[in-house]
Amino acid sequence: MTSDLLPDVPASSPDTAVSALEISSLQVSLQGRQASTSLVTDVSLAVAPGEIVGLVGESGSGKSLTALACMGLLPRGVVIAAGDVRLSGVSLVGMERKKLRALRGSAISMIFQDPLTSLDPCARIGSQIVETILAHRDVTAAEARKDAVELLDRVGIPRATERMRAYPHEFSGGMRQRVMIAAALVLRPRVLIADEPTTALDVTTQAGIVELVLELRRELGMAVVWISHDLGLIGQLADRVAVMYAGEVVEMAGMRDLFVTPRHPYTHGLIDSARRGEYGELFGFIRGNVAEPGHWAAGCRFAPRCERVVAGCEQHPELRPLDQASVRCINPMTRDGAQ
Amino acid sequence: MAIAPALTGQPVGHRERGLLRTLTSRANIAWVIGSLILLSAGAVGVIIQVVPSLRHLYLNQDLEATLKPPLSPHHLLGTDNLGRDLGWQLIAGLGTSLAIGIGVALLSVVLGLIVGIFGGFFGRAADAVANVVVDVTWAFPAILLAVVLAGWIGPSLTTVILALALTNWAGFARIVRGEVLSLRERDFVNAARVLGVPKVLISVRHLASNLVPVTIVLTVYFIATSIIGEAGLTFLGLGIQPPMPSMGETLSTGREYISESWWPVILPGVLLVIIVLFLNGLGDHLRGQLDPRGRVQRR
Amino acid sequence: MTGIVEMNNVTKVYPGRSGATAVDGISCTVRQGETLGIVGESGSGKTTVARMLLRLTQPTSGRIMINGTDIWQARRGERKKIPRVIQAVFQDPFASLNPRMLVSACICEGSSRLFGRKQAAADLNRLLDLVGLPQRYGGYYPHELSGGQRQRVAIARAIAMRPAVLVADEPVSALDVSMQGQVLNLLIDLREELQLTCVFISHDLGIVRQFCERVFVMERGKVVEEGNPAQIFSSAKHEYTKSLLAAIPRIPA
Repeated sequence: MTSDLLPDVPASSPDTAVSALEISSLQVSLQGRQASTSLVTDVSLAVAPGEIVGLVGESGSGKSLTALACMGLLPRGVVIAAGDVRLSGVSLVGMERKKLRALRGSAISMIFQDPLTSLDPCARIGSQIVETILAHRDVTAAEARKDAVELLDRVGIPRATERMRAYPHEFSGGMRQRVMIAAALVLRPRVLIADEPTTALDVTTQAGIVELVLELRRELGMAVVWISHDLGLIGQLADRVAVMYAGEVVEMAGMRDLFVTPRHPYTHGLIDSARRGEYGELFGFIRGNVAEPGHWAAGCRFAPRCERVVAGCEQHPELRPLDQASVRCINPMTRDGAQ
Repeated sequence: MAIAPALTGQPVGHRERGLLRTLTSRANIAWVIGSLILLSAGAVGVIIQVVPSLRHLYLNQDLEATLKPPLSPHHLLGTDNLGRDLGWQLIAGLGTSLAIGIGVALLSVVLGLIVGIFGGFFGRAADAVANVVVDVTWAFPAILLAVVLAGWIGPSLTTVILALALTNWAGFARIVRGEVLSLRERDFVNAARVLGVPKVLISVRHLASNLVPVTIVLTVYFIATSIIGEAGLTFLGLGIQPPMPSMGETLSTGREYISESWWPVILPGVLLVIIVLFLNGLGDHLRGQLDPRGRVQRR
Repeated sequence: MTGIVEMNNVTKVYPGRSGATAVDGISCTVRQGETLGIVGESGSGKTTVARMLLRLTQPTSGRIMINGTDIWQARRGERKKIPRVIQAVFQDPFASLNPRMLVSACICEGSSRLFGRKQAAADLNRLLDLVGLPQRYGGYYPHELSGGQRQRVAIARAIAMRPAVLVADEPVSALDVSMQGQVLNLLIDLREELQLTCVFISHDLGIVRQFCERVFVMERGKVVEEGNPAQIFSSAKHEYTKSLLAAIPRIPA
C-alpha cells in the first residue's frame, strides 16, 4: 500500500530490526551570510512501527525543526548540516526532491498545530483528499471518493458524505483537526509526526483527538512522533519520551520511568512545572529563561538554570546510558533525589 | 538570526543593529545610493530654477542650434525646438516633478492618516462619516478636479499638487483605516484604554507609530504615481505652464516636433520610466525591510 | 453589600445577524482581597466578562459596580478614577506591549498621567525590582525580552497604577510551562504584598485550583457551577464541569 520506494517491512512485526523512523546525530543550522547558527546539534531517535515517542521541550529547543527536517520541509536558509534521517532504512538526506515528494504523505506524514496551514482554504475538503489519493495511487476517482468518505467517517466527521463538499472554514477547530488527520493518513503512512496538534484546542476537544490518534495507531500500526510542550499530555499517550533542550536530546526514557525517576534536572523541572497542587501552594518552575539559539552556554547548556551544577559542568556532556534510559548530565538525579 | 524568532515565536535576546549599519548593509546599499542620486539630481534641478543667476542653464535659447541631436558639441543630450539644452531641461524638470511628487505624497499622507485613524478608531459614527468622504473622493477623477482647479486658479504647480493630492489621499485613508481596525484590537491598545489614556493620545502613541512602515512605503509609491500624474496633466495643458520646466512640459512641447526629431520626446519618456521603476522597486524593498516577518519570509 | 466588584445580572448580546449571547445574566460579588477564578472553554464568555469589567466592552444590560461606582453609568469625573481602581494583565505578552515603546515607557504609560512624570519615574526602579527584572531592562524594547519577562513588564505596568483589583485574562497561557510558575508565583507574591483583589480567567482548571479561592465555571455565557475549587475538584455537580475535569491531562505519578 505504501510507496514502492521503500523496502516492504511488515508493519506489525514486533522483532523487526528496522525502525520505521530513525534519526541519527541530526544537526540543523541556519545558514547566515557570514556565520551559521546551530538550531539542532544532536538528536538521535529511533521509532519502531506502532510506537509513539513523545518529543518534549520548551519553545526554541529545536523539536519542531527536528520534525520538519524529517519531512524535508525545513524553511529557506535552514539546512541539515550533518546526520541522517532514515525511513524504514532508506536515507532521506540528499534524496532527490521528486522521490522525497512521493514519500511525503505516502510513507511519512505530518499534522500541525494550525490545520489551516495544511488545508487549502479555497478547496472543498473532499476534493483535497481525493486529489491526494489520485496523485499517489492508481485508482479511479470513484474509488478514491469512497476511500475519502470512509476515512472522514473513521476520524469522526459526522455525515461524512455530505461534509465532503464543505470548505475548511465551515468546520470547528476540533473537526478541522480531524479533517487534517484524515488528509495526513489517507495514504496510510508508516510514520506520523504530530507537531502540537492539540495546543490550540479546548481540553475536551483535545482528549478526543488524542483518543483518535491512539486508535489509528493501533489500527494502522504506524509509528508516531508527538511533539508537545505539555508533559501531562505526553504522559497520556507516549510509550517513550525524548526531552529536548537547546537543540539536543537531554534525556530519553520509557514514559512511566521518566515520570517516576526523572534523571536530568531539566526533566525534573519540567515535571515540577506541570504538576498542580492545592490552593496556597506555590507553583513549580525552572528558573532563568528559555535558551535561545545562538546564545547557548558553552558547557552543559542547561547549567545556567540548573540547581545541581558541580565541577565538570563547564564541559559539554555526552548523552550516556543510565539504567534503561539515557541522560546528558554528569550529576543526574536518582529516585530519592539524593546525589 | 532573524529566522529563529519566526520559528519559535520567541524574541532573540540581543539588541537590533544600528541604523547606519542597516543602511550600509549589502541588501540596502544599492537602494540607498540610487535614492541619493535621484534626490541630488532633483535638488540640483530645484536650485537652478530658484537661483536667478543659474536659470540660463536651461532657459538660454540658441535659435542657431535648434533640435540638435544628442552628443552634439556643448549639448550632451541635444537641444529642443528653441535651442535650449535638453540635459539641463531634464534636470530642472526632474526637480519640478520630484517636488510635486513629494508635495503630493506628504499632503495625501497627512490627510489619509487623519481621516483613516478618525474612521478606524473613533466609533461607528465617525467611521460612517469618514467612509462617505473617502468614497466620494475615491470616485472623483483627478482630471476633472484639475479642470475645475485650472479654471478657478489657472493651470500651475499648485493646481497639479492639489488635483493629485486631493484625490490620492482617499486610497491611503482606506489602507490606514484597515490597519487601524486590526491595530485597535491589539492588546496594547486595550491596555492603554484600561490605563485611562485618552483616545487622541492612544491614536498618536500606539496607532500612528505602528503605521510608520506602511506610511513610508506608500509615500514612495505616491511619489512615483504623482510624477506620472503630473506628466499627464501637464501634457493635457492643465498643469505646469512654460517656461517652467517639468517632465510633462518637455514631453508635450517635444511632441509637436516628433516627425523631425525623436529626442525631446524619447529622452524624458525614458527618464520617466526609469524613475518610476526605481521608485516602485524601492517601495517593494522598503516593504520587505520594514516588516519584520517580511524580512524573514521574502523569497 | 461589601463586594469590591459586583456584577448584577450582566448580559452581553453581540449585535449583528447572529445576535449571539456571549454572557447571559451573570451576577457575582468579589470581596476585598479575594481571588475569583473564572474557567471555561473558548466561547464560554469568560473573556467578555473580563472586557466588561475593564470598560472595553459595554454590557447590553445589567450593572457592574467597582468600589461603589457603576462603571458604565459613571460621569466623566468619576470615570477618570476607574483606572486607579482596576487594572489588567492580558494573555499574549507579545501583543500587549507596544513594540515601538521602551519598557520604561510601557510601565509608566498610565502612572505618569496619574501621579505625574516625576513620581512615575521614581517608582519605575521599585516596580522593576518588585516584578523581578533588572533595572537596566527599563532601557530595552519589548522584543528584546523573553515571553516571561514581557509578562512581568505587563504586570509592572498594571500595578504601577496601585490598583485595588487586578483582572488577569489567561496571563500565562502564552508562556512555556516552565515559565508559567515564575509568573504565577509572582502574582501570588504581589497579591499578598499589595492586598490585591484578583479576577483570574483561565481555561486551565489545574492552575485555577491552585491560584483561586473561589471558582466560577462558565459554559455558553452562563455560570454552571460555583464554589471552592477543592470541592469542585472532588465532587463536581454539573456535567460540563465533570467533562472538563475528566479531560485534564495529569502527570502520571
